[in-house]
Amino acid sequence: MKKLILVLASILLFIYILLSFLSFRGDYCAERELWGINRKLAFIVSHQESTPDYTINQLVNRYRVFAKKYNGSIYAKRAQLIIGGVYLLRKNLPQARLEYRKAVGPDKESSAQAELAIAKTYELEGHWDKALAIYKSIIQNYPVTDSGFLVPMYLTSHSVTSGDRDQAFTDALAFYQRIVVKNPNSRLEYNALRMMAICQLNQKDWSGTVKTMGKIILKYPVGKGIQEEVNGINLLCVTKLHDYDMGINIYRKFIQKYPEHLADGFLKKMIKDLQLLKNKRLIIQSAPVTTPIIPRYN
Amino acid sequence: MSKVKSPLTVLRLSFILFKFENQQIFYPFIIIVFINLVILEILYFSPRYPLLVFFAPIISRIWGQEYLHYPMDMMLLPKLFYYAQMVIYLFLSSILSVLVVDMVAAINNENPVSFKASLQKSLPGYIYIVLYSFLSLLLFQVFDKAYGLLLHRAFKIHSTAGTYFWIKKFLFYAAPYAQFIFGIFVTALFIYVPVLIILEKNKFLGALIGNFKVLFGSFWLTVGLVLVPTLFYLPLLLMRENIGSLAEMISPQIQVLVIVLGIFVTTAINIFIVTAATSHYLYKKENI
Repeated sequence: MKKLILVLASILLFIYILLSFLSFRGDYCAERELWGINRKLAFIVSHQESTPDYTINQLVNRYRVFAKKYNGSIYAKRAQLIIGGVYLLRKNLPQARLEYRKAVGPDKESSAQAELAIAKTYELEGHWDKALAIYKSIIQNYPVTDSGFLVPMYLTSHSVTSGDRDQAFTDALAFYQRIVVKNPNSRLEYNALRMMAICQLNQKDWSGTVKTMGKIILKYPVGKGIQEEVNGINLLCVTKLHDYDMGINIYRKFIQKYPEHLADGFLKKMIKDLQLLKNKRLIIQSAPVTTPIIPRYN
Repeated sequence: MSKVKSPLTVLRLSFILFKFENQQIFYPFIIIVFINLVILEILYFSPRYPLLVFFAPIISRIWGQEYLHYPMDMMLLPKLFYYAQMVIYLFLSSILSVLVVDMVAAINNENPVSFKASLQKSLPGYIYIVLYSFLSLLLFQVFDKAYGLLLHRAFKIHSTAGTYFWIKKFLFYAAPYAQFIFGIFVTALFIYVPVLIILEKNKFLGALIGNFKVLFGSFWLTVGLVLVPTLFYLPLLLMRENIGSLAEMISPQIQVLVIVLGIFVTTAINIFIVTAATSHYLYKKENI
């Protein structure tokens, strides 16, 4: 029996060692190690006041060792971003910038994040001109990254005068229109269309907003989005445009295109209601238009 | 065999069978544990290269991309292992654990215990053993689904006080324990089926009818035979219930430790229950 146990245990150990060896220093190992360090960071962040500098420096060193160990990987760049974040937390902005710069590399996502963080440090120092220059370069260089995608909309919330604000929305709209043209039938197109609708709504381009929202539901008939867009279309058609046919036509096209869709019943009811309002020639002006949600990098 | 008065006496007598002279009686336990551990190792390494190549499309399609990353993969591991364990149980563990039936009979007849001989004798009944395991699994699944429906209904109770509130609370908290108790009853209800398949060479239906004949008059004793060893599973059940906070406090990898402990404990319990049931059956047969 001892022999059997020994043989089977050896087989188990062999499989373990073999699989560990084959995955040694792979992405998964890096991910796990980084998670461990991040866990410690989360604890420190929650006890920031009582954590001595020594402990924070030690943690930064762990990130540095990690970044060196997995040099060239995306996880090394993430670690570098976190080091920058630690300095940002300690309000050492020049050092934070230095660390963030090290995270810029071939990976567009982490590079965009790093640039964004650098811009943020300038913003915190009150150097909006420097920050703006970086934001513009992010729009230019990393338009389809998660961070870069939201920058044009972020800039709209930073405009001081109404003229600046209009210009920011015009720029943002042009940016998202380009994304739509360059990335047809993708999640990116869907997100860009939604951003376009927000820009048009802020520009008080009611007709443009309804057309974009119509395009969204006709092209992407999924999820909670339909409900939101339909609400927007109804509101604008009834209270701003007083053009019931615009909404009715969009819903009819939808039902024709997706005859078995779950929203069909709901849209048929909308058509009926809009038809009723149209026949009664009612003009409703009191309903407020939904406030757009503008992302903030805080 | 001495006179049986209580489940504890049968369990004590069964425990005595596990001694060094009958060391081959441990083989099924060792092999089942080994097979389970190999599968666990494979699943543990599934989000890493080279196994990732095979597992990534399956995991990301069914559960999502995030389950290929640490620590989410640790949350998925018990589920993956549960599915794998069902297959192992159906086709391997079931036949291996009932080898003990023949071994106990050999000890009872004062013959030497041989793993190989027991395997050769038990293999003709393999298909019936698989059917028996399938029936047990099916009943568990039916109970799971039924309890799930009950929970679904309870979820719709909006009361924040009063009888309905307490019923809802009880149903949610009692879920794992209800499963535990139901498991004991299902096991007890069919425990003599494999004994009859192996010892009496009965076919599935014959063994099922014979099982109820044996069970008649000794139902509660049989429940006791299953209940007492199964109680050793309770600490693990408690650990599993609190796995979220344990993972948060210690490490997500605590999941692996709980699974490994589960393999050892459940295999030992299963084998011990089969041994006790066989002992009781042989006693009853000799005393009719």
